[in-house]
Amino acid sequence: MRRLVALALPLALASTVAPDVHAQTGRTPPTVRRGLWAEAGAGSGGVWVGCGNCTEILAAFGPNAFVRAGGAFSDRVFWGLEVTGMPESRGGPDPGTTTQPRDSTLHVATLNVAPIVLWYPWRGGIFLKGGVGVAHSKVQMQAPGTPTFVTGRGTASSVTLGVGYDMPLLRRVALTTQFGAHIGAVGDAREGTATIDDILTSLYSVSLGLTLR
Amino acid sequence: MRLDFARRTAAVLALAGLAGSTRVAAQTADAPSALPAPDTVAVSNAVTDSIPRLLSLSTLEAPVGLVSHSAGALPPIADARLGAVATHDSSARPPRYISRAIQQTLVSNVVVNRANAWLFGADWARRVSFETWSRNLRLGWEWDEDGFEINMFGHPYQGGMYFNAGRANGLSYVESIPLALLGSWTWEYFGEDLRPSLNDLFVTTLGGIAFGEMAHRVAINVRDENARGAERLGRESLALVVDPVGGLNRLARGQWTRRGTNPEGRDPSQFYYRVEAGARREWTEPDDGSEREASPTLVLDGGFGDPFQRPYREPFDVFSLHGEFSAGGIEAVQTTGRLYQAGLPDLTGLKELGLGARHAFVVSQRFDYLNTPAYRYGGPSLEAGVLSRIGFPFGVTVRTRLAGSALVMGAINPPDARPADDPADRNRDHDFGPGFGALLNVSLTLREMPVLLLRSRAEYLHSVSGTPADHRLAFADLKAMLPVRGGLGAGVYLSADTRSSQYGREAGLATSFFQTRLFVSWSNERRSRSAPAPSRTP
Repeated sequence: MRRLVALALPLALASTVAPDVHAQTGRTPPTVRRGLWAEAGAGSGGVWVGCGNCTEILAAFGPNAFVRAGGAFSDRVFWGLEVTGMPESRGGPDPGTTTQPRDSTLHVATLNVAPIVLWYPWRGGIFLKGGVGVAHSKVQMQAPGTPTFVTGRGTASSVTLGVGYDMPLLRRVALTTQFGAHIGAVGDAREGTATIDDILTSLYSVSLGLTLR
Repeated sequence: MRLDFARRTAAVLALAGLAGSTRVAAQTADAPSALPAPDTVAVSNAVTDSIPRLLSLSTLEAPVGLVSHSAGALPPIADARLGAVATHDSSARPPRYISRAIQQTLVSNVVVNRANAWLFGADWARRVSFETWSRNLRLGWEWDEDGFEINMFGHPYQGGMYFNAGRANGLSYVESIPLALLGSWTWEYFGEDLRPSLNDLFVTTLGGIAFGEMAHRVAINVRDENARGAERLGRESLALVVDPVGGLNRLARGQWTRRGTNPEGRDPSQFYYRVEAGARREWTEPDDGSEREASPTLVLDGGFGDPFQRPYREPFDVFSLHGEFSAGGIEAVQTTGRLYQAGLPDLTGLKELGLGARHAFVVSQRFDYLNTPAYRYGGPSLEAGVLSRIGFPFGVTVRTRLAGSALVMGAINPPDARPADDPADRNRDHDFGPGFGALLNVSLTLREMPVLLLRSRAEYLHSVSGTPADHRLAFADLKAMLPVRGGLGAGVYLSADTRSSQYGREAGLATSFFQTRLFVSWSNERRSRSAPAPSRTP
């Protein structure tokens, strides 16, 4: 969690750059909010992996990237399709859940595809994002109570949430910061008698993207 | 115990809404957001204007003199540009109070938690603390082990409250969706001392959207801004029961007594219903050895609007509800709401034969709750398909509905003989997972009264909680009805439910449930409506 906060701070600082730039130029470009849009970006995230018979939570941190595109219901509500991925990252026990020293006992990668809706409640650039889609995750971790490493792969429904802010750079271009969450299920994983029950992954990320409308 | 959760939640929801709306009413600085200029194409009102409106005071009174178009004289299906989905809200919305809606959503969770803790002494509510919040944030999500009824029935009802906090404060259908998600998310993390439940997040949010929007629209039609005195009080009170959050917001804003213009979406003549009371015989295979005596049943079918006569304007402007009850309790509750519709050309050549053929592509949101001797199954799904209406001579009409569906997060009970590698799985009440399905319904109506209904449906669910498994469900039924006089009728019903569950490499486990039923019915169906009410299932 500290890593995410540490990474979020530069993004928060970056969010102040655009307004300053506009102040220097003396004009703020009006934002176009209609029609088709597309966004691509990257950031950093953490995947927390829990399971039904786990006594600790494992977490892995790494980069993530995304692509989104869609259209507009109105100038306040947008629809789209989002693809978010986090390549295989290594991690270990979340320090908040165990006293064991950190070690590379977790390998996790996740890919999430979801139809999304973006809602701008106010005239400004703040938006909320939500969607329900499909997530495919690969998790390799130690089965609780055994020395055996088990690999689990699963594709299941996922929930996507987020809050972000569009910083207009040009009339149809914006710099978008976002904090997002993707929650998905992997299922059970077994290797011989070693079992990991009900693996669930929670990906939290902060990202920076470029939005075109 | 959490098993009482739904009952307690229902008991305190009025208090939650009152707390939220009272607190909001005291705030004076919450200025409404200006409505954006809608970027839509105006939808023709020709069809709705042509439908004679009821002057009756009863919401569910049989419509009189409603459309009985001949096969070839139906007005064209008016399509709406996609931009109409979010901005064009035919209900006379009050100004948009976004902050109030968010506050009411969050406050309702506080009130429900505290009411359960202080009034009912619920441990799961009393033990909520900063420590449990911190633990929940660290440990994250899990699959919960609440009973099927709580998960698939109680939670959507609660989700509807969150959703209607938005609708009651002027937000549109789409704009209210984040509130359902916000309410569920914050409840899972902070409302209980248990870890957040992923299946509850899905069901509360998606089920809440469906139930909430229907409750909102029913309440609009129950209210009458032109009524006075005792009638006005009665209508507002009844609407409060249907939509507590909306009713309490109106009470706080003084709208229970203020006369005004009814929302454009208010049209009680669009309601239809059919009640069937009868007795059935049932049996299962393999035989479970239980008694097979005749048992009473009650079936309710109802809805609002006909997709072929009500042009699409906004989500859930056409919806239907199906319920089945027996001596054992609720056996089925199914809802379907139209999200989008567009007309399709007739490629069947029936028009060239002189028959009135109309087709439409429809996207719907559906929620199923099914509790039969063969299985317990439920969940939110998205359905897309084609509706057709074909008019024949002598007042005969055939309607069909062919659709596919995507089950977002379904639940199904494991069969009794399920193999369980993990002992913990043997105690699980039901498994969760995504799936998909398809359905085909055909109905035959004679002078706008349904006389024959054939429904079939197949579903697949892959459980990702517990032991991985593949579940396949199939359902078919046939109902024949004979109008007797006016709205009175009688009929016979046959159905077959089958499930097959495959756990790993184990042999598949199959169970079937059959029933026959005789019934007497009463309905107000004088007009054509959509393809039959949602399939009973699977």
